[in-house]
Amino acid sequence: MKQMALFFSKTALASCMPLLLMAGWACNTSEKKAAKIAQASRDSAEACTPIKDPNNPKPMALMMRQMATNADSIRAGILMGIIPDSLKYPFLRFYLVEPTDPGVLEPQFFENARLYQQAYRSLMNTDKAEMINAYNATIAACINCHQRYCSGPLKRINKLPITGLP
Amino acid sequence: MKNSLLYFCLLFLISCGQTPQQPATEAISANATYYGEKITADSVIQIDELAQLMGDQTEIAIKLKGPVEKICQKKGCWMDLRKEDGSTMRVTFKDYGFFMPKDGAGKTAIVRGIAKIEETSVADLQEYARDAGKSEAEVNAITTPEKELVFEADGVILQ
Repeated sequence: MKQMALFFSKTALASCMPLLLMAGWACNTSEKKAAKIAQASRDSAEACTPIKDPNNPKPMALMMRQMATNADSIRAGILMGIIPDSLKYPFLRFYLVEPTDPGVLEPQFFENARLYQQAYRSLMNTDKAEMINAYNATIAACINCHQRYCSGPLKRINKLPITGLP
Repeated sequence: MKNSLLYFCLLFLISCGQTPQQPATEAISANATYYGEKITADSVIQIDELAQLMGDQTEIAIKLKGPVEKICQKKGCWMDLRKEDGSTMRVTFKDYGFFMPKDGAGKTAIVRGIAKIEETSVADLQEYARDAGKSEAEVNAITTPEKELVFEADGVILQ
């Protein structure tokens, strides 16, 4: 009986061996294939990653993009009832860094920057009741300056004010 | 038999008379660059077919292909695509969210977004003129707004 069981188990093992080997080979192949696909998709993702700005933007442009990102975040916070915090959003002295167009550095630009800074300070010291007005006043200062100096970003800035709330 | 031959000839003539407007899948070269949202090169319409497709509509979502005539020399924040008749269509980028390389003129662009007829203000027209490197006299000569066909792209392939 014992011999019979041993015989059967040996036979079963022998007959299964090719299958096991094939399964092992298949696993190995599919692993290699998966690795190849993953590598190819990584390569193509690297090759095709969209570019945001290929022109070495000037520091003022970069700073203003950061300001726009901050405004998005402040806006989202205000809509959830969170008063903006100057530690989280410190004032960026954009008027001290190099602009794309040096021609903008005229008295009116610095006056606009002063008005913006004033509005920003009020926003950072606002209470809950006034925060929407203070925020909108800050954005209005951005719009006012961009209408005169660089109208391209207005498409984005015009979406920032908080309107239509009761 | 005679009738079916007649129908066949008629169908053949109708199909020949139609202008080709089938969107095509464009080949993308290995050195193509992508800007904004990653877009694909399928369902692309030639820029010269846009007017016909728009008809009376003032706005249409579409993917277009055309040669780049000019790019904003300050920041790369707009570009002009040239039509066959020599006129151009200005392309701006959604939410000022991405930019073209300033040396991209002469390449071919595939742009995805919204073509629309809208009025461009004097201030904007003057700004575009300044960006294009026009003289202050030329800029000051712009005194009336212009109703024009423009394009706002959310993704661009340049090659």
